[in-house]
Amino acid sequence: MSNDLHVWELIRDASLVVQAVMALLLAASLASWMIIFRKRALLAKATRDADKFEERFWSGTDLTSLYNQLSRDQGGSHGMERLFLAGFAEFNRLREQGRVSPERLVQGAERAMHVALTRETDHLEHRLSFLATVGSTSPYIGLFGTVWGIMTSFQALANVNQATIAMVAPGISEALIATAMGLFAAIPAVIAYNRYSNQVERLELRLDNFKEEFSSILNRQALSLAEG
Amino acid sequence: MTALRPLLREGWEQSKSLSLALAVHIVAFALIWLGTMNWTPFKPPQITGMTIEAVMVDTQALTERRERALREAEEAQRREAQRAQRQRELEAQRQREREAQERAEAEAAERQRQEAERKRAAELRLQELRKRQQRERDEEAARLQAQRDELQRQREALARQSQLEAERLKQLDDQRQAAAEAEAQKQREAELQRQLAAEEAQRRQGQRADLRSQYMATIQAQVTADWKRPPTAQPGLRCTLAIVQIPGGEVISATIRGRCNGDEATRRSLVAAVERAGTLPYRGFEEVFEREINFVFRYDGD
Repeated sequence: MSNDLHVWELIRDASLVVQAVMALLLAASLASWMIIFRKRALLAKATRDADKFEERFWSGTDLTSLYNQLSRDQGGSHGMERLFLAGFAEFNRLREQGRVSPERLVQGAERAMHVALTRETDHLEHRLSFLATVGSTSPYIGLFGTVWGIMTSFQALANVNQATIAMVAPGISEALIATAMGLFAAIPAVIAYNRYSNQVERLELRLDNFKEEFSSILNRQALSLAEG
Repeated sequence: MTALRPLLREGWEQSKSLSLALAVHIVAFALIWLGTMNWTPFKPPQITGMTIEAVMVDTQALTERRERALREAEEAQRREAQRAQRQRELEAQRQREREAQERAEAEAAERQRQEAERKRAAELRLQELRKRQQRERDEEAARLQAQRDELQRQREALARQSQLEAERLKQLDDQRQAAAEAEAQKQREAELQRQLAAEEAQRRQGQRADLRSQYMATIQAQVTADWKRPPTAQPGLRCTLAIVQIPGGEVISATIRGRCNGDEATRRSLVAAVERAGTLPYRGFEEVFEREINFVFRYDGD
């Protein structure tokens, strides 16, 4: 029986500080895995949506009808759609005011798109910093638990005359579990952070590119309006 | 309701990711548990004192006393056994004599009984035999009659069946012929349909190709009109231009790509010509519009 439960026994018999450290690390690991799964779904969806929208946008449809279609479906648009809607809505609003110079028209649209881009970036990067925090601090927290456990197990040695390794070995072993848990929490968090921040960066670059292209199209349109 | 839906979806995604995270941890802990199965548990070393109690005993006297008691008991047992044996033999002798007398009486009675039995049995057998013969004859007659009836019935049924069969065969034949005709008709129609469809597709393809070549010709005309021909441009010029445009035909960029047999000045003049044109034809060519087109510019002298 005791043979089956040795790891749990070690954890159960650990001192209160070490147990608190272990609980903290377990909670951090759970939270970071939750964020990993959510971010993964979010980024995959964002990439898919961007692909779909780009294909639709460049397929040669009329911009006004595309705008009408997109603004009709409810439920919050994201990514490029949001950029496009913001820019085009602002462009139309300014144009309807009349007597606005083409430069001002394009500037207004660009500003609206910039705001949308900032929001989008914030949405994509949300909670990514938590992964970085877990990845960088949880080894230290685990190490703290280990050091504390070793301290207490050496304390027990002070009172006996004939010290044997068997008296400190269980204590050290239980203390090392804390370090193992710290690493267990940190490694996936670091990997996921690097991977996702790279993906977010690339998505942002793509959005920025789209913004530039779209504002050049708007620029042409504004000029042709001014001439015509 | 519409305001509630995003909240609900948020909750669902949250719980989904939570359960996935929990699953990851459970798997990890199971692996750890399996990996550390063969660890020996830690037990602090235990030191226990042992006490031994001892009493001195004279073993010689003890053994002698025990052996004497054993011998006496054996002697008594043997005497008792001999007496019982004699008693049993006497009893058996008497029993055997009584049994022999009883057996002789029983045999005489048995012989008389068997004689009577035999006589009665012979009489019974004779009667039985006569009865059986009578019954067999009756049965034989009935069976023959039944066979005759059966044969008659079979013959009639066969005649009826063959008539039915002939009718059905005829019917089937008619049906098959009708089906074959219908099938042939259907095939002919399908064939016709296919041919029509193929012709239609070919026509549409041709139209599209026509439209495309017309599109290219229009572009050629427009670019040529805007081209300021440098003196070094030779007749027979062929240059592939990659043009990026947006819906509406506005040119975003133009570059020379692939083969071009003109010199640097000619190339530059061609790019400038496309940019000067500014807008490529769009109305009427929506069907063949592409965001990036490769356009071959030709110049064969004025």
